[in-house]
Amino acid sequence: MASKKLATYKSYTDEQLMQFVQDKDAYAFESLYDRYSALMYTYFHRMLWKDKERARDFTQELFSKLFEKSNYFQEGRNFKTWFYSVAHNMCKNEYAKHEVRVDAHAEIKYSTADRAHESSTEAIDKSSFKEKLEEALQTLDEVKRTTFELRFYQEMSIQEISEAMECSEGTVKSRLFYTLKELNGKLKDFEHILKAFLILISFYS
Amino acid sequence: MKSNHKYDPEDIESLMLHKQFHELYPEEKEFVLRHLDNEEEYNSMRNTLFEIKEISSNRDLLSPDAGLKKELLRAFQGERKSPFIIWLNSLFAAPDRSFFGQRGVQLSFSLAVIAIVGIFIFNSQPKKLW
Repeated sequence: MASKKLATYKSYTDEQLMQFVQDKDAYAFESLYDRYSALMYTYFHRMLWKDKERARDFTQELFSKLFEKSNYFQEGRNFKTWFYSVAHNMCKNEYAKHEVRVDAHAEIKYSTADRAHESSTEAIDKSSFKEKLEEALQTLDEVKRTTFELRFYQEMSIQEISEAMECSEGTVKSRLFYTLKELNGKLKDFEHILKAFLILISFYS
Repeated sequence: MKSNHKYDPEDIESLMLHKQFHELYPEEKEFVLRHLDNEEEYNSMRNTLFEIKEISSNRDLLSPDAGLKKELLRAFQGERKSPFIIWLNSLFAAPDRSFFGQRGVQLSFSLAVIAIVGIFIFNSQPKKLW
């Protein structure tokens, strides 16, 4: 019975479901949870130092806000961008609280990156490029990292990001460009090693 | 490759995704070179962008434990009941401390106490019968 009702809710848009949540409809809340919980948990996990416990707490707080402060959601607004803007502000507050810790974290990341450069036995393949990218992302400032995260990992459009981060589309594009440029600089060394490695392989094979 | 698509000159990501350096229109090339050092940097960034796109498209979504959903649904049910409970509480709950701190309230209470004591004294005096 309940699953049948939930199935019918699948056809509703996020905004319609949010209206039902405002009327205290538990099925609507559950539907929104099913749609967004993994996305938001992954987002918090990536944005908050890959801390699973913290990601869980933040996901819980975010969804609690969904029903406790559902009246803040204005009709006509895009639910997804509103939800991400709430999540983004939660992360911002957390960064402010743990500013010192973030700096220390970045320092650790830098030093491990440096050590990795020195290591000649580093495994050079796609997965290590991914690791390298993750390390480089951790060293970016909060605004660039969020923009990058929303664009590439949450697959949001420029317009959606501008709404979620409350800035112009031009600013988002410019941030993405400079983020990409910075990442490219950080990953360039890795690219050189990769090329040398490929040449070495082709020479021996 | 000639494209009919009109690019917003700000959209460097879109340019990189759709065109190699030699395919850029002169004004696009000019724009790109205003922000990047040379063709090599454009190509290098382009490669990085494709790598990132590939990695992010294959990303795995993490899911919170099933207990979280239960906890939230329970909290949601609790929230549904709360307006009635709040109303009930408001009937019997005492006003907060700052309410009693107000001069007017204190004066009213003092007058009420004096009035009650006055009535009590007045009533307790033996009635004279004459």
